[in-house]
Amino acid sequence: MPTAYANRILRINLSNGNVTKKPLPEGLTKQWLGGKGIGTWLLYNELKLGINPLSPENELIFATGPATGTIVPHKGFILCYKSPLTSIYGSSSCGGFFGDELKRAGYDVLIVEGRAEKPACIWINDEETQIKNAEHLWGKDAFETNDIVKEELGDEEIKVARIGVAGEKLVKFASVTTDYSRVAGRCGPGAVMGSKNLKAIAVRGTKTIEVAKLDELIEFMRQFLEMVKKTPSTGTSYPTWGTPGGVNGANLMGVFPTRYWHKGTLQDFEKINAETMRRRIVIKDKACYSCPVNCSKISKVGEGPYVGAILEGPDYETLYSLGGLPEINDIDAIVAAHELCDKLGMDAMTAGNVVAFAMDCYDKHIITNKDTDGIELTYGNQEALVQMIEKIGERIGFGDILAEGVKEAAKRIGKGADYLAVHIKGLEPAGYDGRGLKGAALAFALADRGADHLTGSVYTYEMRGDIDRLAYEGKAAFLKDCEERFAVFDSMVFCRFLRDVYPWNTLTKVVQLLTGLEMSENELQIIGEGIVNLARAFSAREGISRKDDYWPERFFKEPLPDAASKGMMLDREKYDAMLNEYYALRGWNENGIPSAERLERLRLGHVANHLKDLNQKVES
Amino acid sequence: MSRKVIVCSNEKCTGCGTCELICSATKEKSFSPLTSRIRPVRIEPFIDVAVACRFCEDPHCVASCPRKALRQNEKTGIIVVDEAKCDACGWCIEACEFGAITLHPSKKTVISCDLCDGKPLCVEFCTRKALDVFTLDALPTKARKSVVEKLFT
Amino acid sequence: MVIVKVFGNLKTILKTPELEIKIGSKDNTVNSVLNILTKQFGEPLRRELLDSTGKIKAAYSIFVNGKNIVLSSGLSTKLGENDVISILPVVEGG
Repeated sequence: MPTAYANRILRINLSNGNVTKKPLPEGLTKQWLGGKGIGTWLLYNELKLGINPLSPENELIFATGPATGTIVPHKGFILCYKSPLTSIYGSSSCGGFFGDELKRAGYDVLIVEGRAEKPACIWINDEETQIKNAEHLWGKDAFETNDIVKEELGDEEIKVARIGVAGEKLVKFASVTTDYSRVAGRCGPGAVMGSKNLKAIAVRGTKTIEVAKLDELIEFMRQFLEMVKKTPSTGTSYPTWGTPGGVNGANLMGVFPTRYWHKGTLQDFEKINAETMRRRIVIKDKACYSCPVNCSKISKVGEGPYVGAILEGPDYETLYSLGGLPEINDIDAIVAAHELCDKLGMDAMTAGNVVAFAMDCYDKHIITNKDTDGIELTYGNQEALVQMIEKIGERIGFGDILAEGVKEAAKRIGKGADYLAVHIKGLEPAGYDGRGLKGAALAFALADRGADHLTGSVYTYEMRGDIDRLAYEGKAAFLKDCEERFAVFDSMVFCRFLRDVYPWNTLTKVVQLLTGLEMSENELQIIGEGIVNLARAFSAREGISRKDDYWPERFFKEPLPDAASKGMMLDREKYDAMLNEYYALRGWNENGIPSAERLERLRLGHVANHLKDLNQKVES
Repeated sequence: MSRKVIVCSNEKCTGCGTCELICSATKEKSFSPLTSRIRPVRIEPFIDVAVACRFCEDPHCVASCPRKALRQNEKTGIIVVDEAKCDACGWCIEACEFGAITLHPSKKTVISCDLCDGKPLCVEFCTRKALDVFTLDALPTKARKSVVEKLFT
Repeated sequence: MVIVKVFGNLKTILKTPELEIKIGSKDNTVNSVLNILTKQFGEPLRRELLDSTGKIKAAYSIFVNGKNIVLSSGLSTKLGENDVISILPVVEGG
């Protein structure tokens, strides 16, 4: 049995209160490593087709990896589930310390299924597991819940994964919060937890974690940390500026989504960039476990109408979603809006998108203040942004519609709102406009959970100028390699921001030192490719195909208006060619369905059987 | 010359916990915060400071031990535990105001920082240089220099 | 005349976020502009922007009119009237 694992899966059924502990099959660690690999495998094999994501049949799979609990820098966990926002494959990654505590309690993976009759809190205390009543916690925000649970259970060291009111109200993009404010943010895992009447999961673990080659690992870490220090992204950029470092470049290049995706540069963007943050609001840097990059920033607003607002953030993504999209260039207001999202426990990226979408509808007179409960939802109105976020979190009035996410909200609003709505597969995009970054455009379109920037992370290479952002050629192959390498990251649970210091050969080294498994680069690549295909197969069975691998029509018709991206848009022919190239490299048919032969090569023969009908449909 | 002690800067510390993991790995050949001799304290969201033994001049832990299982090295101040005598009664743990001496989770003994034979691993692995080893004489000199540099250069 | 915009620590060193630089018809590359800047602002700028061999540190990116110079001719990229050169810390979003 490979080392660096706790070697157990903990399964908790909230419907009947059953708690089972099963050994982690050795085959799973060898075939999928951990994290996203094992989580996706379990999700695919355990969930029936076509379930309602808010029903007891959905599962929340918290998966740690071989690096969890060790001195190798790592994230908290990967959470796999069927997304209530998109109704397809859902996965969220979370930073911080929860995963380590779970593994030290003796479990690599925690599966929560069923539904509790009354609000509940799961309490995992090493070998003991209890399902406690949490009715007194219902209605509390994500921060209070953390404090109260730790106080009641009497241990500062307890780690709590919890939902806020947004999760309780089943806001489709509600999130799960751990530590102070590390979030499993996107695709609505908080709503899944809320639908199970599960307010919180508290963990305390005291076991030790061993690795295969400890002395060698420590020596490796010495050199690795030197490498991290010398590399610009990990040694300077992220530690000094955090992700907000990207604001300047994105605006200069004209790809910073502004005015609900109608523009590429925010006026006076310097007011919300990393330097302004450092000067005005950043108090200190924070890191995840063992991480030398410490990209996270703690901010506090010192003066003005939002004085006292405290945030772990903002990050690039929330500067774009709560700043660029609604055209707000007041950093204090963004902090306040983001803090509110964190208190309510919902994804600030989607929140910014839906409110700005509503602003766009308002701007075009598709909705009026009669629809918005009297709120003047005009661009730049930061008060309106904050008020709307509150209404969404509580599902009050117009907030109830926006709480459904942009795709569904557009449907309910009607009157042409569909054309304005920006999403891919039902997920609102991250902060990079595909019209000015052709490779990122493909990456967002193919990302397994919807318009996500992390699955492929191609945006970063185009932003830096490592590859030409305007070229369509070569992007398909580049994306394939990225997706597979980063899928392995998510299985170890490594952070994406270490992408410059983990080429394939370094990955094989770390896998060996941690687990003892001697895997070649090729074998690791197969794991990565397998994960991509498994996630795709899950979603394909739920109806995803080629038609869902596109940006909205607007991006092929309306050019970006400013700065260095002026005039740019997606060329349909070139995009199709790029997409076809990607499918061919992946061994998928023209409709984007994984072929039987590729699946068999990836040891996913049974999946090929499930997709047989879908594969045959193309022929007709 | 006074004794060396590990100090941690709140400004630089990010609460990453590398110190407690490398300590436990070095001392126990496995990873566990509970076997680490240095522990980060995170008071969210603004405070992160790692705390280890301060090698007090007149250590309360030594004085409190009913079995005389603890003695202090005169030169370094390091607390030496006679594991044969230690019965894990915990009086020293109560006596220490800094939480610097703790109970080993599986062995019947207490543990505290011994500066790793002069080159503490936690200091080496702290990428933020938040941890450092200083004598109590040198600390004020460093602080004075730092404030003058900040104000006058 | 070209406009130079700086970000990050460079703003502190230059004591301004933006300045105009006159370029000659013969000295009209990005490199020429950098030479003028390092002459004007001396050691503090050199230390921040250049490594020990005199090359731009890997932690900095240079854009001309929003286009990264590594995609044109690097430091030899020719400049035109009213071009905007931006020097900024490497852009890492997330």
